[in-house]
Amino acid sequence: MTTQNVSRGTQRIFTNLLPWLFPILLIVIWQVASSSGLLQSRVLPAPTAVVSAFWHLLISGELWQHVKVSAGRALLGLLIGGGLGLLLGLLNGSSRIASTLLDTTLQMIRNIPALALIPLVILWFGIDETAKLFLVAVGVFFPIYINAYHGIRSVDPQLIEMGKSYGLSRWQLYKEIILPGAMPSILVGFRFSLGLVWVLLIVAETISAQSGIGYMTMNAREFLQTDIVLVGILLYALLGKLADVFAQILERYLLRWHAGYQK
Amino acid sequence: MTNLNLKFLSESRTQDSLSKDDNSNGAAIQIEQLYKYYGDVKVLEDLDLDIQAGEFVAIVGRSGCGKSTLLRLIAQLEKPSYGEIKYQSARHFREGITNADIRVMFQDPRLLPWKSVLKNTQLGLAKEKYKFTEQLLEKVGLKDKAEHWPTQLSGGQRQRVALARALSHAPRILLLDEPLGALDALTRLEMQNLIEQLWNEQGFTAILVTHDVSEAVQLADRIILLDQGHIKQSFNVDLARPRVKNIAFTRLEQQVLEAVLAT
Repeated sequence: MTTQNVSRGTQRIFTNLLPWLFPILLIVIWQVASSSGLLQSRVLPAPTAVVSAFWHLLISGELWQHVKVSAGRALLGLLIGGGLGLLLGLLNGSSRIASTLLDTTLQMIRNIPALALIPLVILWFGIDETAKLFLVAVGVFFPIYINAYHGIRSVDPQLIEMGKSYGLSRWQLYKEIILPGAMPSILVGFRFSLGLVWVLLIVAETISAQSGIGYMTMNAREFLQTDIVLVGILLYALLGKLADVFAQILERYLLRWHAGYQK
Repeated sequence: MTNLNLKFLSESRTQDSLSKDDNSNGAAIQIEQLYKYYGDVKVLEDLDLDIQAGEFVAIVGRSGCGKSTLLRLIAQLEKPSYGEIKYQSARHFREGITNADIRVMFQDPRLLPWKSVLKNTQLGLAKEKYKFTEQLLEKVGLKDKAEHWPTQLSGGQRQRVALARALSHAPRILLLDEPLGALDALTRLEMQNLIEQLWNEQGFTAILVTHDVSEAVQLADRIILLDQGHIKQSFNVDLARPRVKNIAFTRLEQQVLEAVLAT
């Protein structure tokens, strides 16, 4: 009995560790290649060098400063672009007139890559904060817009009919049936946007910035500090993963009624 | 105020002709010269039907005979092309019958998957009547499932929640659109008993659309056979309740079945 428990415990630890096996192996190979001189530190500094660069940036407070600025931009851009996308998606999904009026235009704009707007954005807003926020906001607008729109449109009409026949007011119908029905789709858009936000931010921060992770890496490049460049890149990966975990938790909570999220 | 009441009294028919018994909570339904077209397709034509308050009427017929359409018209989910459906309360003859007095149980339960079982039964209900729904859940035998999600229930349990939800509004008219069609034979028998029991207790008028002749004989006071939008035949079911499948039952069932097959 106990041996069985133990073996089950080790089995669980094993399955939890398994996804990390490959990355760890990669780092070990990398370290070995660097220390043996096979890999020049200008091309790729050793993992230990990256860790120490990270540590120095951390205790000097510089890292935190840049992360704070970048995260702030990501959040504000997401709030503005995502909020507008949600609002317009809900509006166009609910009102045929609004969607006839606006959807074609929005679909047209959607096909312009947000990053293609950079020259125009710089002409409009110069190179300060607004330009970066604008780029992020435009980029995250569409995934949320499209998914909210689609979500509202695909709410089961039978449920809506039931709600009407059960005497729900228009607002109640929206709150109790349409919005929760569209929620899975809205969350897909949200999660997609969270991934996109970092991509947009990297580019926006490398063009012109005085702070932020993108600035930190670009600045390090000027001085050939490859270790700091790597810290920056890894930070994006880390923040992206963090955002995704947050989105997952949110999803699991908001869709706890969904069969796919029940244990 | 009293004058007004007297006026209503003189206008309304005497209670005896409206109601099956004097204690009925139900509403009487008078259908006069009802027509329903979908484009050029004629679904119901010149249909007249009187249903007494508290009566249990079953509507049978082949697929496409218009029985579901008739139910949807009575439910005010659709408007007649021509003709009128009048509702009249038997005991509360001073009050008009509104949409709030009519509740439908659909072919599938149409529960909101993002609401708990209890919250589903409270849909569209005023807060002060919430207590009532717990009693109803107990009556349908799902008190211990009150906090479950609908996806965690079996098909029969879901339909029982739908029944509790419909009855939580204390309707005068309950419309049943083949609600047991998708259930297995045993669950179906249990549901039939439950519906009959609650109909007995609460005294609403019940109209059941079904393709199952045996179910119609089991539950109804009267069976209406619909054929191509007309009432082809009407059968009174003079069998004592609760009904047992004796010779009289089987004979009537056979008779109705033959009439359906002849259409």
